[in-house]
Amino acid sequence: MPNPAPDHLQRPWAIAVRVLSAAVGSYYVSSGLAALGAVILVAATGMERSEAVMVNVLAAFLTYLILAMWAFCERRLLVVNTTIWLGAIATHALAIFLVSLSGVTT
Amino acid sequence: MTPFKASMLWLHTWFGVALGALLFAIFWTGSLSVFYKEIDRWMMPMTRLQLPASVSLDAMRPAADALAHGANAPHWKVYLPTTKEPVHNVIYPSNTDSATLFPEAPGSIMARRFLDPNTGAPLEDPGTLAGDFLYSFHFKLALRRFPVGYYPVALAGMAMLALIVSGTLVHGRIIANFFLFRRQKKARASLDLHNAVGILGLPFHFLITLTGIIFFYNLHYPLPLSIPYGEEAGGYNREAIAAYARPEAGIPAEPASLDKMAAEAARIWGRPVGTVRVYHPGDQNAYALMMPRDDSAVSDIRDSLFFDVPSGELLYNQVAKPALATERFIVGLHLIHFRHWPVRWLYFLLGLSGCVLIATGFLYWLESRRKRHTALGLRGVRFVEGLTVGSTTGVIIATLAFLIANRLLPSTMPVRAAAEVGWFYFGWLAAYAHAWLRPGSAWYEQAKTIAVLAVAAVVLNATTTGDHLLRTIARGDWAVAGVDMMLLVSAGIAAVSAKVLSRRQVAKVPQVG
Amino acid sequence: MGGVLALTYAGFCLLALCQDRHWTAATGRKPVKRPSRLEPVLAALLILGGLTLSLYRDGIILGLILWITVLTASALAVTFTLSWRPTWLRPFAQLSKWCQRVLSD
Repeated sequence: MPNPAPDHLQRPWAIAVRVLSAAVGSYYVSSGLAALGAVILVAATGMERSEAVMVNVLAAFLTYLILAMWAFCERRLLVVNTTIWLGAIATHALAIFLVSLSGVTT
Repeated sequence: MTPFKASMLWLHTWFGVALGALLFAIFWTGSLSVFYKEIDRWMMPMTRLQLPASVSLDAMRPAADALAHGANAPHWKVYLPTTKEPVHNVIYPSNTDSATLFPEAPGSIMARRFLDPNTGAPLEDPGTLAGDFLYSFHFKLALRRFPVGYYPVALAGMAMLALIVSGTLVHGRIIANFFLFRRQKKARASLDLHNAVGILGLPFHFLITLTGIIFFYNLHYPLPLSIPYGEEAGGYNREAIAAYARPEAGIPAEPASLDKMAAEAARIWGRPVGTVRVYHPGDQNAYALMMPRDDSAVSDIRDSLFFDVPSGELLYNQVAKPALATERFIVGLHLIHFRHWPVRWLYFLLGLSGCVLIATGFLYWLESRRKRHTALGLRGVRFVEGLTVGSTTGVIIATLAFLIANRLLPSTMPVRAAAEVGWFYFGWLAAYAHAWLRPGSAWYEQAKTIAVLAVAAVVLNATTTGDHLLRTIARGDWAVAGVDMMLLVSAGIAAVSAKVLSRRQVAKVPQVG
Repeated sequence: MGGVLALTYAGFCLLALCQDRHWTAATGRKPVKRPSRLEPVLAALLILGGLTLSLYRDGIILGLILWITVLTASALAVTFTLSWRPTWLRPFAQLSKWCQRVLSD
């Protein structure tokens, strides 16, 4: 048989879960990291907000890619799901919280 | 094989099979898009005009205003004539044109009309989307009404990046096999070619895909663009893009000379004006947004100058900040609007090599599983084989059907542009059906079909417009001549492929019924 | 672009000939066992020469873009030459042998 699938990618439902975590979950992690990164970058360096946002968004495409691929490599499904879905929520929540703290001025 | 490599191989194989069809179509339409303005000239013969020495905005303004008022549009935009597109290209929000089957909500789609470059008078309605259909298929699957096409394309793009990285990671012997293509050995030929095109073209494939996805960053990452701005909606647009805007006054006013404003703009930038968009035409609060011509730099420059139309006074100078300028450069790497024929041709050929990459990937998957599936009575190979043919030769047949429909459909037809698009999809579906119904001979028959259709397209151009190849070369119309010549070259390649395939057919393993 | 293409093509030909399989395909003879350090250097010089020409003619940005895309095109061209007409690389094998002879003197 050409190239048998590795153990953690044998069962259809396991694959489906990983596809979801990779396609959707990793996307939200990258999005949250970008939002968080932008907020922190502005606070730490005083960089102009739109600049900080752009830098982080450009990086987000790559973090999305790396995380999505990791979702298929990591053997333990629990680790994958916890990291990704918790990470997605946590990063966004933290970013929103930090913004509300600092009180954005135009 | 390590678990990591096994995972990467699994990912590469199954992302490839699942998304190869869509990715091929994206690479195919993308490659064609390098020459979409040339395809425009081929498909819209009334625009095969000579570029005049000088062009007047004031001469074309009345016609553009009339078009906008007729459609109740709040603005119109003109792409000034260039050598590649020697006519005024005017677009404006409308709710109907010959590509929409039913009237849409106002402002939901953009209609397009061409104006004579000398007189500014409207040219006959071309009744076709032409190259723009192929171009918009490339990034949004040509879905005009609802902007949902962007997302599958972007997801496919991310998957492509994963495919490239995983493919490189599982490649056993990159250095040893660097120049290797054992085309005689049936078992290795498609894999060798797949690896060669993939590895040798790695910078192009990765960068073209990444830059393509980054292009629509504002669509794909709305949260990082909004969260840092807290309560303020549209904060990012205000800061980074910082465009000028003002509402209509409702009071009519005579416009000043657009040509004078364009001259002023050209003086400020040091390069000529490329596009002009007039908001609230004929109104007291009308303002013009001018952007420079974009064929002299890599960056897709969007620096704009805003003029008050009734007085001609400069209102606002919008210049991109460094981060946005970086993004514009990244986009420029993908669009290659700049004039540099060698690079444009290389992008075209490398884009086609991307198509070869995907096709050889499919072929290798089929070849490495054919015996086992046939022995076990599995249907996988049969399905993927039909998928392969339909998504490769199939989309090429679809494109040719589109071109031929363009030449044959009567110009008085009401929804002519929509009908042409219909022929594109019909050709594609027919190819898929044919591929699944006649698996043994699908490749050969579709290759023959491509050869015949491509020649037919060239003949039809000559008979319906009178511009046969000798005449277009003689008058230096390289756009039309180029498309005709590429069609003939494609016919040649298809014919040769058909011949090679007909010899191979005899040695095929019998299919499971 | 022709110049850049020619230089990088030549460079890749030399590199390809560093591998036994391609040397045999080109010359029809097994390569004499020798640690060749000259050919890769020469190949690199040719390829970088292509870069220099490209930068000179088209500036940094366009020059880089042109060179990177030409690299793919010429490497593929060498691959196809080796597959269809490997004997076309014979002049480069000759050049390599001649350089070896000159060096060993």
